[in-house]
Amino acid sequence: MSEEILKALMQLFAIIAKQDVGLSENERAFVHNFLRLQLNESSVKEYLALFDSFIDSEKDKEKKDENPDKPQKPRLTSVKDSVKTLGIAKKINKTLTQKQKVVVLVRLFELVNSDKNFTPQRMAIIDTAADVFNISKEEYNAISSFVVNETPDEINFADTLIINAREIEDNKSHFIQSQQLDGSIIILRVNSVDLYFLKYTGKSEILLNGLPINSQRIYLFANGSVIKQPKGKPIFFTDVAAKFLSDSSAIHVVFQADNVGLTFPNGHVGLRDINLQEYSGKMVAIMGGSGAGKTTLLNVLSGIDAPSQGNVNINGINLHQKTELVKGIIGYIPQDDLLIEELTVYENLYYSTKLVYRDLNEQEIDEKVNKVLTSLGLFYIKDLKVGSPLNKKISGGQRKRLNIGLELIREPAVLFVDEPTSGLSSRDSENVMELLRELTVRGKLIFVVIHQPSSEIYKMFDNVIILDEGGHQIYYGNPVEAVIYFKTIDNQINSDVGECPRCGNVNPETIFSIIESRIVDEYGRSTGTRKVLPREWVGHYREKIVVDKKSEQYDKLPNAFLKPNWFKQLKIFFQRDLFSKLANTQYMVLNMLEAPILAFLLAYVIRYIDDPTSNIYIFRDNENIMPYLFMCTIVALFVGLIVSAEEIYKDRKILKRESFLNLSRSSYLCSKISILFMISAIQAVLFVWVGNSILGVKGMYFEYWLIFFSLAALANVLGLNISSAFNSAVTIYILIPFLIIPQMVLTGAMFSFDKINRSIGGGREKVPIIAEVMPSRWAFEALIVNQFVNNEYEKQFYELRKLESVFNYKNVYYIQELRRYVENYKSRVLAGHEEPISTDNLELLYNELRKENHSEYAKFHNIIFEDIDKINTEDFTMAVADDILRYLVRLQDYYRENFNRIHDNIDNRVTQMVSTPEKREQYQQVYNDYFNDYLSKFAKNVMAPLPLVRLGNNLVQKLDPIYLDPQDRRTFSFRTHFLAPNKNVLGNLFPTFYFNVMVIWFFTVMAYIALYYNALSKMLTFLENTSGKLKNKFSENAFKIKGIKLRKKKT
Amino acid sequence: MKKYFILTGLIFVMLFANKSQAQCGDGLFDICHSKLDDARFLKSWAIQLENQRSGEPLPQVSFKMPLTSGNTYKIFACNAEELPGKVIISIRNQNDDLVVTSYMVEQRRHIPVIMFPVGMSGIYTFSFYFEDGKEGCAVGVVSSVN
Amino acid sequence: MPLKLKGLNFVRKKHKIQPQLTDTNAQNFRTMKKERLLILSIAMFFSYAITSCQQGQRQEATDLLSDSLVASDVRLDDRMVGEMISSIPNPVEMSSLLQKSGVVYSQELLNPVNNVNNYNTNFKRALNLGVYGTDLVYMNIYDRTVATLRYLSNVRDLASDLRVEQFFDYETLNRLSESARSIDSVLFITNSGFDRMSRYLIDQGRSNIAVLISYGTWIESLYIATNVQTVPPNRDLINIRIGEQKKVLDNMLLLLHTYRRDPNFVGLIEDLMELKAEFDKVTISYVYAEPTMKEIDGMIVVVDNSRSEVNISEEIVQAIADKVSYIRGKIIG
Repeated sequence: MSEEILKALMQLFAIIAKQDVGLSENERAFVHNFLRLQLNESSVKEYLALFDSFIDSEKDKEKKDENPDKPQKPRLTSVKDSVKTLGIAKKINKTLTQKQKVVVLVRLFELVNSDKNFTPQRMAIIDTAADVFNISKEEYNAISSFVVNETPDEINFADTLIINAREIEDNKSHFIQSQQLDGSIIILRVNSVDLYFLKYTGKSEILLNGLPINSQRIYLFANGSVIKQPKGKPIFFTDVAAKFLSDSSAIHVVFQADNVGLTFPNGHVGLRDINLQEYSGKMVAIMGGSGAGKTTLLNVLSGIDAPSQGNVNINGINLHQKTELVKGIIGYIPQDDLLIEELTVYENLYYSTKLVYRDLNEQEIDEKVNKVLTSLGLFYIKDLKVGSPLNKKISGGQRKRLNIGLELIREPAVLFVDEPTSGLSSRDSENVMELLRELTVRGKLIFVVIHQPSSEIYKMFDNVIILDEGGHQIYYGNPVEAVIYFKTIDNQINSDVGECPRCGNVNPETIFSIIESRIVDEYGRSTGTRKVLPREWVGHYREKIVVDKKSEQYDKLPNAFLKPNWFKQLKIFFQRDLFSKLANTQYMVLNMLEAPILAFLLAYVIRYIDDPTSNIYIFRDNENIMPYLFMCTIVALFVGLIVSAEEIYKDRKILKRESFLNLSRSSYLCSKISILFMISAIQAVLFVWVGNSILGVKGMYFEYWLIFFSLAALANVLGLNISSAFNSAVTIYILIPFLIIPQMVLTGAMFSFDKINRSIGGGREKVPIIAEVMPSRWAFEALIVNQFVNNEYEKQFYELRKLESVFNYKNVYYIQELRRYVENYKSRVLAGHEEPISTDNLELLYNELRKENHSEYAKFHNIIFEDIDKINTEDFTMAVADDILRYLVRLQDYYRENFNRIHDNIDNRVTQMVSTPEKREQYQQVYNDYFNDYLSKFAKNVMAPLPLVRLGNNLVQKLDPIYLDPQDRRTFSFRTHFLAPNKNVLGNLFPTFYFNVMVIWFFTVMAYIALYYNALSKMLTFLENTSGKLKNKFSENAFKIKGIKLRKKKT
Repeated sequence: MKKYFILTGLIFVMLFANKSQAQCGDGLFDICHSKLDDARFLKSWAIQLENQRSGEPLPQVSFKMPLTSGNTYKIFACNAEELPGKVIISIRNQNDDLVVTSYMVEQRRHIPVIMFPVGMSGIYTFSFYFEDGKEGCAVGVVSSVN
Repeated sequence: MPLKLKGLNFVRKKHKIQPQLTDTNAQNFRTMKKERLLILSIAMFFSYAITSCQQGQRQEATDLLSDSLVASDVRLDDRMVGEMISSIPNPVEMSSLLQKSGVVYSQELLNPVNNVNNYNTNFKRALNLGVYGTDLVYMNIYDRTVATLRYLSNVRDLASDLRVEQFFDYETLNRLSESARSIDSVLFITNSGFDRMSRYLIDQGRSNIAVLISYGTWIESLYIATNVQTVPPNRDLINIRIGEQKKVLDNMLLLLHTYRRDPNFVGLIEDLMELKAEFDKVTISYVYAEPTMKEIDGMIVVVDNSRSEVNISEEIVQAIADKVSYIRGKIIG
C-alpha cells in the first residue's frame, strides 16, 4: 500500500471516527492493529500519529464550529465531511484496483464494528465511500451484514459459507462441517472481485496461514490460504472456493477404475486389481514404495497405457476404448520438463495456447496467456528464456509451475501429475502443491504421484491410494485415516491418533515403515523378509475398505476442445520450432556453417593441377571428381542425420504431453520435417555452391543441389525415425555410423559391385539387392550419370556415343563370343566328341539368340534367326550350327557397318567443330571445363577385367555401363545394372537422374510412414519383449534347476 | 528368368584366351607368337583361304614387307588344326625373284622355319598358299634375330 | 535387309506401351481404380516430359542407322591396304639400329605426353597413336620402362577413343607396369598390339585409320632417325637406313592414295610428295644374285647373294630431316 493511500485511509478513518461520539479506544486500537499488519513498528507510530493529528484537527475545527454547550448530541453528517470523504474516495479511486477498494471498504466497516457504533453519520460516510467506489448495493449490503452480524443464523445468505459443527436449519449459505470446531467460521465471497473475507466467532485457536485469528477481526481469505484448527483437517482455500463454485459451469466428472490390472508384455505384473472412484474437485495422491507401480498406475489411469484387465471409465466412457471422446479432457504433467529451452516463459505458453484454441485471436491468446502467467505468479519473468535445467534461467519451482501452466491453459477436467515436487525445495514444493490444490476449486480432479510428501502436502489430499510391491492396492481413502488404519493393523499404541495432537503434523512415513517393516532375527538384525507381504495387506484392505461405487447420472462430457485444423497446427508447430531454433544461435551458426566448411575443406583439398608444368586448373584432369561425388552423398547423409537425429528425442516429453491434446502427429512431424528440409535445402545450396565452385563443376548446380537435398531430406526423416525410437542421445549417436557406413560401403564408389561378396548379390548383372536399399547408391549413381551424360561436352555426343558403344560391344565382343561357342561345337563334332556341346552352352546360345531376335535393333536390320527353336539337345545339328554362324556373320556385318557409320559421324562432327584454331580453342575449352576423364573412365568401367561375363546361361555386358540401357524391359523390372543411363519404368526408358531422385523420395516417404506409425520403436519393443520373455523362460528354468538341487540337498 | 538368381556358376570368359586347340582366329596368333623364342616380333598375318575351285588359280595371299640388309629374319607360320590345308610361304624380292620357299618340292616336305640374313634391302613380298589348294587357316610371323 | 524409313522407329517407340496394355495387362488395367489410372497417367506424362528432351538426340542417332550393304570398292581398298600396309616398317628395327649404333637416348625427341589432350579427331588420334607407338618402342628399346607408363596410357586412351581399346586393355597394361618385366615382353605387347590393331581395323573396314596409324609410326620413326645426334661411322649406317625409306615412301604414298577423296589425306599426300622430292635425290642400286639355301636343324637358312647400295649425301639427309620435322610437327601439333 502506498504512502498516499495510507494517508488517505488514515484521513477516512479519522473522518469516520470523529463522527458523533468520537474516537473510542477500541477504534484507535483497531487503527493501530491495522497499521501493524501493514507496516513496521516505526512506520506504525508515524501513521498512528498522523491519524491522531487528523482526529485532533477535526476536533479542533469542530470545537470552533460547534457550540461546546451541546455535546454528544447526534447530528447528521456535515456537508463538509461528506465533501471531504468524496474527495478522498475519488483520490483512492484513481490509484486502487477494485479489489483493493473492496478491501478498504471492509476495513471501514471493521473500524465501525470495532466499537459496534453504527451511527447513521458513520454509515453515511461509508455509504458515500462505497458509492464512489462503485460497489453495488447488494454487495454493500452483504458486506455490511457480514461485518455487523455475529451468528451464522444472522448471516445466512448465498454469498457466505459457514464452517461449524452442525448445519443450521433453513440454510441458504454454503456449509462445511467441522466436528470439533468451537463456534463458526464465516466466509463471505464478494463476487464482483472474487474476494473472500473470513471471520471467526468461536474461542478455539484457529490459525490462518499460521497466524492466530482474532475473533474481533475480519480477514482477507486469499488464494492458497489455509485455516488450521486445533483438531481435524485443515480447511483450504480450495475447499471453500469449491463450495462456492460447485454449482458453477464446471462439468462434474466421475472417474472410475474397475479391477484394473496390467501385465507387461515381458510377463511382469505391474498392477493388480485396482479400484477407485473419484469426483471433480478432488486431489488424490498415489503413493507407494519405489517400484510399487505408482507411475504405471498413473499411466493407465491417464490412458497412456492400456490395462490388460479391467477398465477405466470417465463418466461411464471407457477411457481406453473410446479414447477420442475423453482424451481432450485429460491432462498429464510428467515429472520431466516439457519446456522448450530456447523459448521464453511467455512463448512456451503462447504456442501451447495456440495449439489448443482454434478460435482465439492473437489478442485473446495473449490475454489468456497473461492470465495464466499471473495466476502462476510467473508474469514478472515472462520474458526470460526458460533455459535448460543445468543452465538455469528460472528456478525449479518456476519451471514446474510453468509446466503445470502448459496443461492449465486448456483446463482439462482430469489432471495427472507425476511427482510434481521432486527436486524442489520444500517451499517450492508447497507452492506447487497449493497451486494444484487451488485447481481442484475449479472442479478439477487431480491425481498426483507423490513420494515422501511433507505433512503439509500430505494433508492437502482428499484421498490417497497406497500401492505395494507388485502393484497391489493396499489402501484407498482419507490420508490421515490411512495412518490410523495402518497403525491399527500394526497394533501400535495411539493407533487412533492420525496426527500429532499438539502440532497437527501427519507423518506419512509412518505408513511406509509399517508396510515395509522387516522381520528382525534373533540378533536384532533386519532380515530381507517382510513382516506383512503385499498379499496380506491386500487381504486387510479387502476386509476393511470397500470402494463405494455408485452408478450415477453422468454429466455429458464436453466435446473435445476445438483444436486447430491440420494446417494451422502445422503452422503453429512450425513457428514454435522455427523460433526456438532461431533463438539458439549456436545451433544456427553451426548448422549453416557446417555444409560450406565441409565443402570447402573437401573441395579445396582435392582441387589439384595434374600437369606439373602448368599452373592452370583443369577440371577434366582432376581425378578426384568421382570421389567428390561420393563424398557429396556421404556428407549429405551425415549432415542430414546429424541435424535431425535428436529432434524428436528432444521433444519426446513434449510429444507425450501433446498426445493428450489429440493433436495431429502428422502435422507435428510435417512441421519438423519442413523445418529440417528447409535447413537441409539451405545446407545443400551452400555445400554445392562452395564445393562445385572450387572444383569447377560447371552448370550442374541444380542437379547436385537436388541430389544433396533429396538425400539430406531422406537422412532427416531417417534421423527422425531413430530419434523417435531410441531413448538416449548416446544411443542415437552410436547408431549414426551404422546408418552411414553400410551406405558408404554399398555406394558402388568404394567397392565395385562386381567385387563384393557373391552371397549378397555381388558380381551379377544388376546392382545387388542389398545396395538397392541404400539411398546413397541411388544418389551417387544419379550424380555420376548426370555428370557424365548431361555435361555440356558429352551432351553433344552422348546419344551417338551410346549407339557407337552398343554396336562396338556387339561387334567386337558379343558376337565374337557367340561364334566361339558355335565354332567350338563344330570342331568338337569334327574331332568326334561324344557331347560336342553342353546343355548349358546350348541354353546360353538359345537365350542370347532369342534376345538378339528381340533386340531393339532387330527392327532396323531384320536379321532374325528363325530356327531358334532348334537350339536344343535334340535338334541341334551341324546344319543348325552353320546357320547360326551365317546369321552371326550377317549380324556382325550389320553392327560393324553401323558402328563405323556412327563412329565416323561423331568424328565428322568433331572435325567440323575444330576446323579452325578459334573453334578448336573453344571446343577444347568446353572439353576441359565440362568433361572429366577419370569420371568417364569410371562410368565406362574401363577397369573391368572383362568386357562381358557369363552369368548362368546368359552373357552380360560389363563394358560401358553408362551407355547401356537396361535390357530387362518387363513392366516392373525397375532394377538395372549400375550406372545405367536410363531406368525401365513400365517398359519405358526414364532418365536415371530423375528416376533415382524419385527413388530417394520414395524412400523418404516410406521412412515418413515408418515414422508416423513409429515402426522402428514398435519393432524395438517387440524385440525387447521377445528377448524379455526368453530371459524369463531362462530364469524360470534356472529356478527349476535350483529347486531340484535344493530338494536334493534336503533328501 | 529366375535363373538369373539361381546362378549356376560365374564363369569368366577369356576373350582372346589360348585354347588348347589351334583354332582359326586370334588364338592361333597367340600360339604362333609363342614360337618366337628369342627373336623379336615384327609382323604377323592371318591367312584364311578356301578350297581351290577347278579352273581357277591357286588361292593365295601376299603381303609386302621391307627387309633390311644386314638383318637376319626368322620367318615361320602356324596352321589351324581344324582345317586340312598346310601353309606354304614363299618370299620374293622387289624384282619378283623368288628368294625362298618353305616347301621343298622335290622332297614334298614342309620346312617350318626360314632364317633369312638379308643382303639386299628392299620391299619383299610374302606369299601364302595352302598345299594342293586345300582350305586352310594359318598365321605367318616375321621376326628379327640379333 | 530392307532400308528402314526415317522416323518409323520413333513412332514405334512411342507406342510401345500400347501392345502390352491391350493384351495381357488389359484386364488388370481396366479393373484399376480411377485414381490409380490418374497416378499412372501422371507418371507417364512426366516420364514422357522428361524423356522427350532426350528423344530428339536419340532419334537423330538412330536415324544414322541403316542396313548399309558395303560398297564393294571399299572392300577392295581394304584388301589392297591389308596387303600393302606391312610394307611400312616396324619402328623396332630403326630403334634397335639406333641403340646398337650407340646413339644416346633423347627424351626431347618424343612427342610430349600432355599433347594427347589436343587430339580430338580420329584423324589426329590415329596419327598420334602411331607417333606415341613409335615413341613407346623407342623408349623400350632403350630400357626406359618407368617413363613408358604415361606413354602407354596415352596409347591406351587414344586407342580407346578410336574404339580399339581391346588391344591395350588395362589388365595387360597394369600387369606390365607392376613389374619391370623384360623389355622384350613390353615391346612384344606394344608391337603385337599395334599389329593386331592394324589388322583388326582393316578387317572392320576402317583401313583408313590403320593407314594413318602406320603413317604416324613411320614419320615418327624417321623423325627420330633424322634428328638423333650421331657422328660417323654410325651416322653413315643410319643415313643408309634413312635412304632405304625411299621405297617405303612410295608404298606409303600408294596407301594414302586410296583415301585421296578425304581432304585430310590430301594434305598428307601433299606433304609426302614434298618429302618424295627430297628422297628422289637418293639413289639405290641393286645387284641381284641367285640365293642359295641350306637346311640346318629343320630350318631353311637362306644365303642371300644379292646386294643393295644406297647413295645419300649429308645434304640430302638434312633436307629430308627438315621435311620430316615439318611433317611431324603438323602431326603432333
